[in-house]
Amino acid sequence: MKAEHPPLVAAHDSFERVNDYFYERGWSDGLPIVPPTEERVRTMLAGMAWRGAEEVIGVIPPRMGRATLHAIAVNAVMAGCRPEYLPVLVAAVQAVCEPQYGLSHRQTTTHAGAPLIIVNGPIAGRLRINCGRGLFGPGWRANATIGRALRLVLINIGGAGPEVDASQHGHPGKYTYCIAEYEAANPWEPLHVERGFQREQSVVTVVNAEAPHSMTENIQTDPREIMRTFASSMATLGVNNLYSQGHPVLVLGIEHARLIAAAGWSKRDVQQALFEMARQPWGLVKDRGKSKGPRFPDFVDRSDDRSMVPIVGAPEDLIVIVAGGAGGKSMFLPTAGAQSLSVSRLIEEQGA
Amino acid sequence: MISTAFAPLARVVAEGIGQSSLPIVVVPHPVADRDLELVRSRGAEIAADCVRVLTTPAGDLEREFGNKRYPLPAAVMPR
Repeated sequence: MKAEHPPLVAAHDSFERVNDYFYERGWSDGLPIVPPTEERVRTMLAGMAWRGAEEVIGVIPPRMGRATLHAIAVNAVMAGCRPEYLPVLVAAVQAVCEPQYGLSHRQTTTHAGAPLIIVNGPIAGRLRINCGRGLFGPGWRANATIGRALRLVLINIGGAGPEVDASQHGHPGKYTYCIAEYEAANPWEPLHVERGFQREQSVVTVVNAEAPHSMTENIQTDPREIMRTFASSMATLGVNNLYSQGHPVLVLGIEHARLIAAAGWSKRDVQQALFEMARQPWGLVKDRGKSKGPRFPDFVDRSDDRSMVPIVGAPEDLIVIVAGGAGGKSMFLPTAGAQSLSVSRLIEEQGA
Repeated sequence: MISTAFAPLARVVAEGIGQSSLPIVVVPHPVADRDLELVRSRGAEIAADCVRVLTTPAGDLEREFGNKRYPLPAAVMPR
């Protein structure tokens, strides 16, 4: 593994030569990168002109690399970001560096998690971060490049390239994993408001999540029955959250959200219902899966095989957002468990 | 102490915290086995080495471990 970071390159260096050079040194996710020339990096830094270029935004394990604004901007250029995306990327870097996210073990674990960036607030619309149909898929520059830039920061500054990242099977979201919440289709308060921010503030939430799992419910319209379908998908043996809880994510489809709200349910009702229903009996869970960590819920009576084990320690630990296109599907994103929790961080905007 | 599958990673972590000559004792992977006898035998195999690195002068350890590299597991494909 190389200790150095990607350098600036001369404008006259060929695209192919720069890409070969960077790839050979591991400064890459495997896709071609945009050569980080001095001019491009300077333009990128203008996206956060109120911050000093050498200011350290975070320290990235396992190499404990110093993520200065300049170093982050280099990776943002490489990923194809526009300068106005930089504040979102910086907030995401700050968020993954918070202790409760557990970046040191997320960078090196065998688990297949990737930092999902959820963007809330007005900036999501301004940057056209997709929150609707196909939000996890290709086609939107902001989604594609902000998530990719965070991955390049983790590789190039943190040192978590393929020789160090021990994820047993990896995860397509390790290329990029960035979405926004569809606040206009959300009948309740959006995620950042639930977490104490103002609706007009822009916020990133990062959560180390597995790949999204689609849950189809085209027939049932009663919220309780929709929850029963979800609960069956979510509390499956082998899902880490059943053994050590944490902050898994439910991405409610817009039609499901509309049906549930029309029946008079609040978002908290959804969380409460799934806290109660997405469970398996202790007798089935106790000798399989993974070890039950120190944060395993106290209320699970381990002397009673019939005691029910939830996927979250409390209703509000289930992250519920509304997003996606038309149709009768929602998505469930398991996480590693309580050793890695989600973090929300205010996005700094001009002069803030 | 680390298993062979994670030894190169341990080296990076050690360097990251400024302990580039940290002695690393390597045990065959995996150690998280349910066969307690196997786990005990793995421990017994490296016990003497653990004692040795804990009782060896720092200068000697630096010479032994300062530039030591560990092979990547077979499942890591070369680029």
